[in-house]
Amino acid sequence: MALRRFLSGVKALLHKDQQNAEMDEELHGYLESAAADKVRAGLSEAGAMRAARAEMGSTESVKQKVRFSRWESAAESLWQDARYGVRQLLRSPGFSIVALVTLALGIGANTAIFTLVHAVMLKQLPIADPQHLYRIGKGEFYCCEWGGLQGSWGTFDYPFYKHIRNTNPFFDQIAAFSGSTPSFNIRRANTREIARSITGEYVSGNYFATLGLNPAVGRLIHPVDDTEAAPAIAVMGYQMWQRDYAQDPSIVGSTFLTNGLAVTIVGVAPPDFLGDRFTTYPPALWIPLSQQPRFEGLGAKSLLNSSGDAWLYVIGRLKPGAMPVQAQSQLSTDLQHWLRAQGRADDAEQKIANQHIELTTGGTGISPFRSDSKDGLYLLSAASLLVLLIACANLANLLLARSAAREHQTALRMSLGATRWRLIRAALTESVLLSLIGGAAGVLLAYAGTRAIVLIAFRGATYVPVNPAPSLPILGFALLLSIFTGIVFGAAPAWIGTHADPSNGLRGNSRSSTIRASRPQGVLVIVQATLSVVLLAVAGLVTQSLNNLERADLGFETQGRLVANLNFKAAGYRPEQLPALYEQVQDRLERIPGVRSASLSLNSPQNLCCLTVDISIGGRSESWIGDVDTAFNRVGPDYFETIGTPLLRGRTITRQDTQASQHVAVVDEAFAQRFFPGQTAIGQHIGLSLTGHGYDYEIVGVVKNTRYRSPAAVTHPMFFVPLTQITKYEPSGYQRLETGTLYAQSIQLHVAGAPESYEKPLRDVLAGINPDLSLDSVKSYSEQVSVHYNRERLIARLTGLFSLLSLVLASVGLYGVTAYNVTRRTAEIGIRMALGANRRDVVGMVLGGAFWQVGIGLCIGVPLALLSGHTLEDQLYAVSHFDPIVLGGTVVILCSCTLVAGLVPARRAASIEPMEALRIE
Amino acid sequence: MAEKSSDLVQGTLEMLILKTLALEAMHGYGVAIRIEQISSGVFRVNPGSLFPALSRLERTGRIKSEWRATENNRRAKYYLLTDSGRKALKDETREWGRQIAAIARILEA
Repeated sequence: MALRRFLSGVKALLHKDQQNAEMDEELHGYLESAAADKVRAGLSEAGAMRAARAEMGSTESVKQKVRFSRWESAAESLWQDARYGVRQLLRSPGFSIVALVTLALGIGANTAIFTLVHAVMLKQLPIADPQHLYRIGKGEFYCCEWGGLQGSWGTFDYPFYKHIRNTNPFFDQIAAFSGSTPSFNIRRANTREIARSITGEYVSGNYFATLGLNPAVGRLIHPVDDTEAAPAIAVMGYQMWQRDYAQDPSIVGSTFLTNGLAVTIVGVAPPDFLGDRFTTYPPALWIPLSQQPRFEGLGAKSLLNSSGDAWLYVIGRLKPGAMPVQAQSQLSTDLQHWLRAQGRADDAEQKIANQHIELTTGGTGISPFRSDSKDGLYLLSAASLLVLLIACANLANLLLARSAAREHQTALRMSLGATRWRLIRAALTESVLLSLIGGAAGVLLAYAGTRAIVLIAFRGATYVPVNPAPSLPILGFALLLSIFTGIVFGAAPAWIGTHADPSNGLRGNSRSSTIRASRPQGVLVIVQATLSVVLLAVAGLVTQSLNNLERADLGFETQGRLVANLNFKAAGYRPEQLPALYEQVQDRLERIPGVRSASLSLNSPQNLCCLTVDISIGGRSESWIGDVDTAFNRVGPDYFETIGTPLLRGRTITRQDTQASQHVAVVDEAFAQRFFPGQTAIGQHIGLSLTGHGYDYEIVGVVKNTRYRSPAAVTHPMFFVPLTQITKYEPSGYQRLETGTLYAQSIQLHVAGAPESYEKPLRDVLAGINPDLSLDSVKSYSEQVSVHYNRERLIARLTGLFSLLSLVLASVGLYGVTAYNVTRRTAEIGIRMALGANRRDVVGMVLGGAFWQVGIGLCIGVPLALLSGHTLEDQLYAVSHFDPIVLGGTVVILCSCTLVAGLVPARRAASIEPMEALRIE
Repeated sequence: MAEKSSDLVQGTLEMLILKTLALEAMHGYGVAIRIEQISSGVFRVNPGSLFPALSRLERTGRIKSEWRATENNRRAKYYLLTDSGRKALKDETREWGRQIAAIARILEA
């Protein structure tokens, strides 16, 4: 039925003339029949025709009624409005170009930010039915949450995962995957290939089935693969298969040496699947969980077999009809039972009762990046929205001025019978049309903008997880935003502009109604000033914070230093081989001409950070000591010299500190002050917080505090022990920590000249020692520090750009309104001058008007700016929300813009010749 | 116009047109006259309501139209009831009867 109505509507539109002729003929026939009847009843022919006509009314109005009863009339008048709109736009190209540029900037900024928000926050994983995938747990942790109670749990140990997988009644499938994505050195066996360093992920046997994925070739991991007795297999990522092996089908079934172990590749993951998280290092290899002990080499003490070490993320698909709330409370109960059954004597029952599991959405994957960037993205979205609002205010102003100019025409149209509704619709069609064209330009601008944003946001990354090309959701967003924008800036002018009195249309010029347009214009200027103040102040605060971050004293030198990451473990070394290897690496590196010193360490500042542990102090038993989170690092000889951290007292770690010698530690100032206030730290003994370990290490030196993480992050007291000294522990977690941290992950060079030029010699030296030793992210230390502030820099640059845009838009708006008012008041100014006002008075009057509006904007904007500064405070570093320089600067900038925008029309006003002005009247 | 005639109850015009056409195919004027005659002049249908109603009915497929020669050899557009129109007439008549009975009961109560 609806289809038939649609089709006959289309037919009617296509054969409009024929339809019209038929209707004419039909109506004419009606008239004749009616007249014939009346003749029969005794009227004269002429009289009958007249009477019949009178009864029917005008044929045109009957036709109109028939047309209105059909849907295509609405489409037709919309088409008329659109054509009228285009004609109006073409008639005033200056206005149209200004409006389109404004719109393209406003909509483009929002679309670019939305592209980012969509990629980071909203995009679903390319898996089957992502809406029904749940994550069991909340929050992101790196491997591993070490035995403790988590409160709201995010990662779990393997035994608990197996327990819920086997017992929970609410889920069809429950899968697990490792929280960390370890790097592997991989090369095809029996070839001359050089090993590649890639990221891998341990996954449960039902992982791919839970996600509902199909292999590109071969097969994916099945539950039968996930047993310790099963042959070693893995699934390769599509990108790697494509990039490194040109989609060679013989990869499937062939053997690869992965960290020295033979693993058979059984298949390739689907092309668009890059793992379950948003990261710049997507996994290229998936390995069954049960094979984890083989790679870790700790057997019974490996992560897989340990209880209490939470290293797995868990996801599941709810059964149809199961309620998430029910499943959630069942899981929490399970968890509490489990913890009690574990018999953790040291955990109070009341603490256990607080342990719970939340179900969160799983379809968008897991992303620490997302939680870290959330606040920044909200800020950017708000800033870009402000820009758009300011742009809307500008356009509304332009339209108001134009509708005032068109008032005569509007009144004429109304007196010719156009309804107000029809005129409003025409005006809105015009503004939406404008907005759609501007939006289309905005999408192009957003594409370019997003590419630039990605360059800033992912500087130094090998893989960028944001695609700047507009996808369907992005285009949909831009379309909706354009329509919405068109309505927002078009509504008030359409309403006010059609408020004309038809009789005015015939009477000619009238001045009273233009005053009606000038008040909303003033309000719009105030709104623009207010929003600009807020944006400027926020941009100032964020930029100030970035400057503080970049200038912060990090406690080490970045100039003339090179830093790189490497993985000795993946190259197949065993812990006992390491001390000799480290010595060899250091010697060879120091022999490179120009290298002043070289060192190795587990973590390095602004790069890899940090393990936190609890410690005990020999001879002291205060309970608070074990509650202080203390950062821990292992370093080689000459480490502090190489990165340029000043030694304050005692000595640093040297080549004489070996497993056989006295075990020693260097601590930082914060450590010395926290644990030994008013005493000498040197000579004291420390160890991990375990009974009997208080005398493990003797403190031999104190160094300056060094910022390992962002200066904005909380810092912990820190201690350093040699890479070569190892302590034996009973609990598996401690033992694993001890063995794992023996592998240096960072390498540093202090060089003469440009650090970048040492990348090649560094790579050569390592390849000469072992071709399996591959380097990762080799950077000069100043670049490494800069990369660390990518996000802050992006936010500062973008808010800066947005505030500049808003300032330009607001200034243009103010200029437009002031100029318009000067034109409108030409006669008035002429009279004033004729009555004795001098040119300075006129300039003062015009400027005063402009400053009055901006002043009100400042009065509203400054408190708002303070408020936004307050909500931003935890994103700022060493900047208070009340920053007099930023606020003062904001006021000065805005006032200068007002002066410039107001002075041009003010001078024009002053140049008015009184006599000429009066003649215009 | 139509001083003494009553306004049609909302929505009944289409039913009356269907009923009129159920007897034989007719042109627009014929429909108007027939309704006026049968209702003894109570209902007079003016062209401004008649033609939009015919157009609506044609769009919904309850009637169809064709050009035919009239009794005095002119060309006129005749409207014919379709099967779907016949069914709609039956449904609407039944519904109308129900409503009339209900209204009558209320007025007599």
